Parts: sequence; structure tokens; C-alpha cells
Amino acid sequence: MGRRQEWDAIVVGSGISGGWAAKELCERGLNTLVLEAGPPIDPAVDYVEHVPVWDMPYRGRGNQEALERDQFIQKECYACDEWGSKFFVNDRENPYTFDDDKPFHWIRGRQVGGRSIMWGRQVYRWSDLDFEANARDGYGVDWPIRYAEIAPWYDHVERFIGISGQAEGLPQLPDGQFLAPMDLNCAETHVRERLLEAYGRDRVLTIGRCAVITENHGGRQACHYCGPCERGCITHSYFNSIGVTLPAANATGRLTLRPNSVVHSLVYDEERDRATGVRVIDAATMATQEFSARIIFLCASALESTRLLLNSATPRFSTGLGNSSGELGRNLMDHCMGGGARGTIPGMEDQTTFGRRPNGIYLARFGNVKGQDEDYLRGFAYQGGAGRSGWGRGNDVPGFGADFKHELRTPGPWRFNFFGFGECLPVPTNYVELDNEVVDKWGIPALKVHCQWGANERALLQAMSDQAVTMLEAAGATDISPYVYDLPPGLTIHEMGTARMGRDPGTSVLNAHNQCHDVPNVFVTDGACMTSSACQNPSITYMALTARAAAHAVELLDRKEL
Amino acid sequence: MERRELLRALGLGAATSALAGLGPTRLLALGREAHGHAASTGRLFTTHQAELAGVVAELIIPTTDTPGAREAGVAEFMDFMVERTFDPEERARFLAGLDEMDGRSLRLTGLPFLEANEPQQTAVLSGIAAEAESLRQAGEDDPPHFFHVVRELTLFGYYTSEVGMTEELGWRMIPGSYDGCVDLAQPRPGGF
Repeated sequence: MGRRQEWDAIVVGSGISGGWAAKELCERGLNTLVLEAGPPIDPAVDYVEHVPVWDMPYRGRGNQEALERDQFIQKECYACDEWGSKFFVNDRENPYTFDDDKPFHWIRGRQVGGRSIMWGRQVYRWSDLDFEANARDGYGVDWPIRYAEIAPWYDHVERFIGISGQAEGLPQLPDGQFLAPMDLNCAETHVRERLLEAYGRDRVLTIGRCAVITENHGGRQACHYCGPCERGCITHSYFNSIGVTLPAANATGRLTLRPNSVVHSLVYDEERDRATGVRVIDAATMATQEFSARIIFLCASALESTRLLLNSATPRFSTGLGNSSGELGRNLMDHCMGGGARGTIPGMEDQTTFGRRPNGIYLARFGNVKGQDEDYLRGFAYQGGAGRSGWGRGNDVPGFGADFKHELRTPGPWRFNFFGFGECLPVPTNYVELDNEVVDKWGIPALKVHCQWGANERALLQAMSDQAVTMLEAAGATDISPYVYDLPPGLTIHEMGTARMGRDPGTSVLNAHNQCHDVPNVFVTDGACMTSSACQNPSITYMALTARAAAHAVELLDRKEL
Repeated sequence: MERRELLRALGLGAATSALAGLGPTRLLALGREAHGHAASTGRLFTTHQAELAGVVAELIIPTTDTPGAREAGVAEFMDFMVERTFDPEERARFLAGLDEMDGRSLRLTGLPFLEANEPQQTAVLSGIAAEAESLRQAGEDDPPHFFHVVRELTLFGYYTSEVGMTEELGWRMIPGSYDGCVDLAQPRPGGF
């Protein structure tokens, strides 16, 4: 190991959670080192949202040969396309394993900004329907917090990053600090109105709440509606850590960002009962080095943070640092997605949309909201939306020539899609462990993932499809086609759990402030901390929990309790 | 014009006013400077096959009040895609489909395809299209008939080309705003 260096705080990871940890810790006075496994990226060079399709050799279809060779897992993500594949890891350098009959898709981004570069930007608050879910039906352990404790931190995060959305007053989907909402389009407004007539306020179709700013905000420019946010945004109109949180951290003068720094493990001092730092491998030179700090925030993504703890076993913690409960690695969750239906909304043929809205609709959970009414536990929500079909329909009809071309110039009928996202139950049999036979490019043991959907997730997927059909019928749709996709866990890229929060150190890894019960100066604030999954996109909750944990950590340091 | 000039323009003031000074052509040129790739050049098709592909593509998407497949360079793109993305069997079927154009034309018109006049060429392609459609109706279009493959490549190549997107569909890189419900017939200077 090379020379040692001392910091107040080390943050592992520079994505959605790491950027927030860096900002909050720096702003609260700590000299903070952010370690990022991947390279830096330069928005002016690397962002490709304005590169037109005709400048791509495969016109967006990608070099399949290269994807099959280097990104055979990553390519399953829609954003890992001809433009954006560079923001996803090389699967040969970053192996992981799973049981043959239990495929798991682990989609990863290693660069400064992490997956905040190409995330889906949808942000929905949780409510007590979600925080009380485990206590209600007995799956998992009870969350150690309730909505009232996280609500001010949702406010804090939303005000800073800028969220556009429509307040609807729904108890199961609390409103937030919203900038002006984006428009629903003609067909979506039609469906919203028909559903309100049929179901009242139980099923309110609203515009997606998203981390894309519709007004200039915090020195960043309003969205210009070019469309593909996942390729980057030169005006920083959507939230990512490079454009928003890391600059705020840097402005304090207390941030040191170190890219190409692959964290191997944490260093633990048995006598002091504290983690004292981390061991880092230089991604390019393979040289190793240690960095020391008073507190450590793990924000490397759910499975990377857990892998790091598993790879930091000590004589006292022989199965992984902070694992006296035996729960480290257990209760892996991901939202089950892909039950739904499509249909044609007749009429409105003289109308279309202008601009490319990087957002869709949201229809909040309605099942089991007022009580346990359904055969399944918990629930699901829908995303999706409407659009007029384009030239691609030319492949489905006979013809060619001038009339054919002219016909394709006018957009086709309005098609509406309800696509469901369901809650995943926390169960100990969905878990990760180190695979002692496989290592990554840097010699770090790979993860072995054991994860599959259970009967409840399958019931949710079917119900999503059935209810989508019912609602499309209520909205007057025609040509309704239901679907239930068989997608493996992981692909929703909402992986959660494996180091859950809880009240009891005997059954959880982290306490109510994301602090390791066993090693109090280690905090885990990314998806690993999640005690249940709800059905809402989770990133805003990671951000709020991270900011809250950082404030708590600094208070503890100030009181000399760490 | 440098890409960083675009970045400055985008980063200052209201999006619409900052961008108003940049013509779409210049905006797009920036993207090309930073990320452009050499245009794909024919590498698989013989000269004769390239000419056949060019005529077939132009019959499918002809020049009308807007440019057609020929101006969009569809045949060259088709060559690239067939060479780079088709498996050997698909490639062989596609080339055979092109090569059969002359035989079909001779039978129908007495002339090789490229020497036939446009109505004759249209008649030849109509026959092929009808054959493909009847296979589809019968649920027997697997592997897909040559006509369906060449038409798919033509539509994809044309509607993802610069002329196809900007002149035919009115696509613009930076709309600058979003409106969920506009009159289809109303002219939109910013495009879709």
C-alpha cells in the first residue's frame, strides 16, 4: 500500500447518492474525498444528445457485434444504445454470476456521475402506505422511519434539484416542491378525464413528476425538449450529479474528487471499533493506496456498496463488515415491471404534439390503498403515455410509392400505453454473496446474485395487465392489446435492499439514520439501505435519505460521538 | 463555429432566444464536427446491385414535393446495413432478391430492370409486393420476403436520414418548447 492521506469524510461513488453526500458533507464543513471507480466525463465532449441519428453509423441500432461481445448484459437497457453505450460498463471487465434458472440483469455505469447520467428522472415521494407496509403484512422488518421524518428532506432535495409536476393531493403519492408541470397531450388529457368520470379521485392520471426543469432554476436552463436526456444534457436541464450536486460540493472548496479509484475494501480497526479508511486500486495502473477518514459514506449503488462490505470481512466480522445480523446481502428487491396494455384512442386526428417531452404519465397505486382489498399484497403504479404512431407503421401495411410516402407523412392514430411497475416483497431468499471463483478486472471478487420473482410479483404483473385493459376500455380505446412481459429482476434498474435499515441490530444492518449498527462511522445511503421497495421510482428517496444521514453524521461528529 | 459556441449559446439566457441565432444547419454541423463518422460507403453490393437497390428504394420512397430515397442516400446505407448487420443467410437471400430483379423484369417487360421505364419498373415491383403481401396474409412471411426486407431498410434509411427527418417530417434538433396539443395543419417554424 502507498502513502496514507487523511480526510474528514470519504464518499464512495459519485452518482445520485454520492453527489448528495458530497454536497451535504462539504456544505456542513467536512473535507470530503469522493472516490469514483470510473473515469471523468466532459459534458462538452461526451454528451451526445444533439448528435442526430443520421450521424450514427447504424442510425441508432448500434453495433450489435460489439454489444454482444462487451455489453451482453448492459445492452438490455434501452439507454445502452448507439449513443449511450459508453456510459455503461464493459461486462467482460465487470463480471457477476447468477444461477442458470434465475437470470438477473445488473445494469451499471462507472464514470463520474454514475448512473445519474442516464437515469430515468422520474421522482415520486413515498407515503406512510409504503413506510408501514412491512409492519402491516409481516414481510421484511419495519422501517425505522415514517413519512414525517423524511418529508422535510424530500422538500430540501426537490427545491435544490428542481422537479416538475402537478400537485394532485393524493395521500398515497404526496405532492412535492414542484416547478410548472409539463403538458399532458391531447389523448392523455382525454384518458385522464374519462378515468376521473369512471373512478373519481381513486385513479388520477397525472403528468410524470420528473427531475427535468421546466423553468430556469438554480443557474440551470429550462428544458429545450430535444428528447433524449439519457445521452446527457449540455444545459443541465435534468438532474445529474455532474451538473448539480458535485458543482455545489466543489464550490465549498472542500471537495476532492478522485476518478479511476476502484475501492477494494474498508479498513477496520478492531481496537477503536471504527472503520478508518478504504483501500483503493487505481483503475488504470492497478497501484493500491489507502485513504483515511473519520466517517465513510457508501454510495456506490445498492449491490456495489454491499459487495464492498462483503469484501471487507475482518476476524470479528467474518462474513462481511457490519454483518453481525447476518442480513448483509439479503432481501434484494427490484420493481417488477412490464404488465400493461396498449390501445388506440379514437379521434383527435387533427391534433398532434410539438416538441419531444422527456416524460410520460403517472397513475398512482390504487390497489390495497384503503385496506387489503386485493388477492395480491401491496400494489403497482403505471407509467406510459400517448403518442401518434409514425412512419414505422409503413412496415405493417401493403404498398410503396408516392401515395404511400404521403400517407406516412401524416402521423397515425393516437396510441396509449399503460406500463406497470410493481412493488417487490423483501424476502431473505433473494440475496447476493461473493463468488469466490470469479474476480473482476481489478481482482475484486464478483457478486453471485440469487434472485427471482415470487408469486406476489407475478400476480401484480397480471393485475397490471388486467387493470390496464379495464381502464383503456373505460377511456373508449379500441384495438386493445394486453401484455405481460417476462423480464428478469434487475432490468428495472431499481435494485434495492441487501443492507436494510431497521430498528433492531439483530435483524438489520443500518439504523434509522443509515448508520451501520455495528460500525457507527460507516453510513450506507444508496439503494442498499431500503427496507422495502414500494412501487415508486426510488432515486428521490435515496437522495433524501442521503441528505438526512449526512446532517446526522455531522451532528454526531460535532458532539464527538463518532 | 465551435461546439463550445453552441454550449455558450445554450447556457445563457432563455433557450429560445439563445438558439434563435443558430441556424439548424450550423447546429447540426457542430454535432458532426464533434461526433461525426465517415459516411458509410458501398462495400458489399456490385455496381449493378447498387444501381438496382437505388432504383427500388426510389420507387418505394420517390421524390415528390420533398426529396426521395435517392437523395437520402438510402442505397449506400442499405449496402452498409446488409454487409454489417445481416447474418450470412439473410445477406445471401437479400442479394439473391436484388439479382432476381432483372429476371422478373425480363419476363414482364422484355427488358432488364434498369433499362425498363418507370411505369414498367413500378409494375415489376408491384408484382413482387403482391407476392410478399399474399405470403404475409397466409402467415408464411418467415423468413421475410425480399420486398419486406428491402422496404424496411428503405423506410428506416430514409426516415433516419437528414432529408427524411428534416424536410419530409419537419424534425428539428431543438424545438425549444413543448405543447401537448397543437393543430396538425398549423405551420410550425420550429418543426416537431
